Amino acid sequence: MIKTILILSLAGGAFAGDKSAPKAAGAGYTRFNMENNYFNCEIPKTWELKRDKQAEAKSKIYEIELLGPRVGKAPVMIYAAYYAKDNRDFKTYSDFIERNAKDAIGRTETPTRKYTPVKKSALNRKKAFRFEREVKEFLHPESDSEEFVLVKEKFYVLPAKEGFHVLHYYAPKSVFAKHLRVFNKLASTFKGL
Amino acid sequence: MNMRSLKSGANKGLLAAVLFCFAATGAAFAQDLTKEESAALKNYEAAISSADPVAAKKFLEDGGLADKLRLAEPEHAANLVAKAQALTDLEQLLDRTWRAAQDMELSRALSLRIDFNKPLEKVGIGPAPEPLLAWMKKYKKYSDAKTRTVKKAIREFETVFGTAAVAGKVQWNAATIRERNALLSEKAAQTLEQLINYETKTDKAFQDQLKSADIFRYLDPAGRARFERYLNQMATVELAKTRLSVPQEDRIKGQPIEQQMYLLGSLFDNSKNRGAASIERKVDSARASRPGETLSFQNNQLLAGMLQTGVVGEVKGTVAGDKILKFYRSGAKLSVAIESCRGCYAKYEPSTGKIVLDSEMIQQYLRVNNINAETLLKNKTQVAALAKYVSPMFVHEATHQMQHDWAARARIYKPYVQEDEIESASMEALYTTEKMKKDKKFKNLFLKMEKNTTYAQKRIETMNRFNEGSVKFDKTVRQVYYYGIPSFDAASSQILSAISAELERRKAMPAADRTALDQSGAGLNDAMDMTVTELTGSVADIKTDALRKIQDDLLHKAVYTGHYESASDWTGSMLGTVRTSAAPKRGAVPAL
Repeated sequence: MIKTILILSLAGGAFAGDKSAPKAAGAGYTRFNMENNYFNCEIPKTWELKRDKQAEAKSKIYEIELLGPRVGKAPVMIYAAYYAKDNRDFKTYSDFIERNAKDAIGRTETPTRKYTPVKKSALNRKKAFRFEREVKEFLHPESDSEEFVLVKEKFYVLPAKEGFHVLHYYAPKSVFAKHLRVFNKLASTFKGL
Repeated sequence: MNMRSLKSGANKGLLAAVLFCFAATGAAFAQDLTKEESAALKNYEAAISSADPVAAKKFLEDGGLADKLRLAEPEHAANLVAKAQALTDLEQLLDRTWRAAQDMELSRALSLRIDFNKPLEKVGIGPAPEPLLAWMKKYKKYSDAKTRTVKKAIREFETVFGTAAVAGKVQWNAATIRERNALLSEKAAQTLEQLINYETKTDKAFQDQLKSADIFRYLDPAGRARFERYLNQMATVELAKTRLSVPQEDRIKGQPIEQQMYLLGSLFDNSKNRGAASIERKVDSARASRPGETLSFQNNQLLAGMLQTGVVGEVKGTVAGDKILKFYRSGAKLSVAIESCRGCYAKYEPSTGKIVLDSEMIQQYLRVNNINAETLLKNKTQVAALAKYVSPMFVHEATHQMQHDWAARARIYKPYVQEDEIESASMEALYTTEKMKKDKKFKNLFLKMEKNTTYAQKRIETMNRFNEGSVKFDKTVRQVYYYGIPSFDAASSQILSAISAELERRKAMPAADRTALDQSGAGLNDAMDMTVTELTGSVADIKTDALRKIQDDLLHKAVYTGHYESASDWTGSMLGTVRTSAAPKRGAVPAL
């Protein structure tokens, strides 16, 4: 059975899986600690936090999903994840980048997608790679409906000693810039293994 | 009775079962459970009856107690398990991320769970959906945004009609979500039909006006598809107008949309220059077929036969395709037909054993490629290309056929659930990934067609999402693609609840009535072919033995979840193999 933990209205409350916070979080934010110290970061108090612990144990992808305001046809979301060395989906961080910074056949521009180049950078003094993509996401792929929403996503991929971390921001393109500061705050306070 | 549990159970369980057979159920049960267990069960029952999701989850995880109860009182156990599963399923459903614009999807998902004769009704949620809001407030404390989405999804009176409206509120509040959606959908469909048949405007302002009109949000999937097609047709007309002369534009002025598309098809036929040819393909993709472009009955039969042979050759040599061909070589019957799919691209029909490919999808392919049915049938290369085009959906539907066959061979009842679609979509995406890598003709065809048809774009997008990670793909399929069907937990819970209530009812029936029912009722074979809705709606007409058999099947949840997890692990690991295998040399592409 899928075990999902949903924690709402996080103001002042302690998390399941929380350990003592390394330092006080900024106003409007609280610190989240993933079990086994896989990562910790500041997350917005008013956003919904979701986890699926059973799926995490099986896939060895330890991920939180933060759901922000819904705008138009799509939500604003942030994912923070630790991909263990023997995770189900990706052999290495390079594999993740290869499969997420291009489409499945290696294109960076298609009728439904557009990617930015992958740039080497640093996040909190750690080596990181960042890239963005825009996707025409069909809402009804099972029927001949043509309804879609244009979403924009931003990624940070951080190599770790074993495995790697991924920070992923997802928003309708129309409000991407508006909520980017929340993602930036999480990213700037992120500490991995 | 659950014979498997009886055989493997401890002596204590055997004693309980024997005592049960002597109609001393209550006494046996009392002897079987310790005092603490009885108290715990009482607490669980009280909490679950008040719809407490935490208690429901805890009960389902308390395997020992549930097993003992199952052995001693199967109907009682099934009833409690069904209620507990329904609550945890509801919680999982609502815990997911739901976009504000996904109220139709959430509405359908909730209408499957909250209605007459559903397990949730027994815990006070249903048949009308308003108690759900109180349940959320008491147990979940969701954000205001999610609460608003749920209110939209259940079609709360004030949310649909505004706070000033009063008339009809009492009747509305007595209706189920399904009934509310049916009323709203009917009204929206009538409005759309009027526009398609009589409206002549196509300009952008008019398109925007329709896009933001609330009424069309209530269209059902088929209506939604028609609405999107209408918008696409209007956009195509506006694009085409930029290349029309004044007399040509006058010809389409004042005509309803289908007539405009028909006339534009003639005006742009066989365009030579690049810009006009591009518009021609867009017009051809969006317009209806002309008489010469439709498939006659004879041509349909011929083409279906040729495609059946074509897709077999096409999928051969791929990991997903070979798995499917192995299935057909083991004795399963392959039967491909071309029919109207009514808004879908393809489907597997268990009742006929046919894989149906949508005739409109095929006719659109013919229009975009300037081919008619007669020339297609005379050209093996063209038929082979069409087989390539439909092959991802063939893999998808053949996987459904394999699922049905698996259940039939295991002699278990299998409801149609989200997990079936996750497996089929994964197989489709795995196949497309491999073909795009290894088959240049396949790749070129899809790269060309993705510029003109959403069918091709969606096949490529499904492939892309699968390649981005199987864990997220699972969530996307459940939440975005196949929201309208229940998860296995939800389906199983509904059926178990209906069966256990019916078996309880039969206990109180006079023996003669029960014997008559068991002689004249639907047998096991009929019941095994029923959908979730058919089964839950006709439990009163099914023989007792058949009900007990299905109940026993569904109580062994691991048989199903094991199958789905195994399928998911296989496609996930095969993706790694496909991605790392080298592309074959030229000429090594599977022959048609």
